[in-house]
Amino acid sequence: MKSSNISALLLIVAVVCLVLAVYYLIPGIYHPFTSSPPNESHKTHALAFAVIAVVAFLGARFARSSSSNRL
Amino acid sequence: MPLDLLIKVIVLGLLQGVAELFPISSLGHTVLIPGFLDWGNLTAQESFLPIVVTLHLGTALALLGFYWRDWLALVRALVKTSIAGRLDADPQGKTIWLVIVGTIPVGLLGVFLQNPIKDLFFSARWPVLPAAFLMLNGAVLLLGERLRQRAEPKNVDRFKQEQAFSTIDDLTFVQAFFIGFAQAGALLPGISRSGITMVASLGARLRHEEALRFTFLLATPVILAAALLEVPQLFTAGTEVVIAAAIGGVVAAAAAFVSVKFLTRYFEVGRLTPFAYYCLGAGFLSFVFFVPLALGLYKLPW
Repeated sequence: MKSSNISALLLIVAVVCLVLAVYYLIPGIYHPFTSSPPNESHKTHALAFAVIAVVAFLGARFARSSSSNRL
Repeated sequence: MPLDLLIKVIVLGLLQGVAELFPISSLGHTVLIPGFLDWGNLTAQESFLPIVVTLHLGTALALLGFYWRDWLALVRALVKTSIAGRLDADPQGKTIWLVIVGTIPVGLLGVFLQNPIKDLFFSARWPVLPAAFLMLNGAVLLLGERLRQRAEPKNVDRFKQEQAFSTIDDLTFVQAFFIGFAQAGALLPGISRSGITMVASLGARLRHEEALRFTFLLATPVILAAALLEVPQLFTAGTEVVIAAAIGGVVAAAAAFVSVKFLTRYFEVGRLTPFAYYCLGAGFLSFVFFVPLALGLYKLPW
């Protein structure tokens, strides 16, 4: 896969994870895959997605700046 | 503090410190051994949660302490590569990002699946399923080691056999992701985090020593994060429980430090085979012991 394609893919992952992080923070709506009341805010889930969003964003930068890194 | 609580905490600390790092499943042992002693499932009891937190903290701090030079270099590399936007901005740049990529699957699956799995496996009175999974863990270790032996060069000594394989920096990010994915198997009680991660690392052609190092580098943030997320439990606990938790944490840290020191020396040329046979044997004996209890065929005399 080309570095530019990997970079684009990782950017999409970053945006989706960011949206999911915000979604899990909003109280009053249904959150799937949670054990405590699903309508509450779930900070651990939000944190996990936020971390992945940051990692994916940085990964996109790496992929764009260096085509020599094997992914 | 009651002597009964002190004994339980020390036993749990030793079990956690040793079994978390040896490829024999800490979750399995912290369920099975209290089961043998008819203590019930201590780690799932509400009053023991603060103690479980410090046991994990102790283990994570022992790992950080043992690999502190590596972690210092890795954190420096993380900062440098993140600022520069290039992996080659630091010699350890690729390693830290391999660790991060390898941590994502277990982190995500842990957040989503830990509680459902706990509800599923820890609700039973007797640990029959952890015993079965311990046997499965033994079989996985044995299979992994057998496949590895087939790939090794023949008619040379063990040291040269190991040198024929790779180091962490030779891994690809896809391999690191799948090794991290394998680590999620440890959410099942009886499946060893270090065991299954080492088998996956051996499958990616790492040397045993490097597989162990990568395993512990992957395990440290996971154990530490899991413990830190539960730290608020400590603030609501009574003084007696906090003291017991502190003792347990120190015992776990000491046991973990000795374990990691032994294992790094052992895996210079050692294999997973002895641990595989131990898991098969211990799992089988536990299974035979607990199944009749679960079926109500006899009761423990103690």
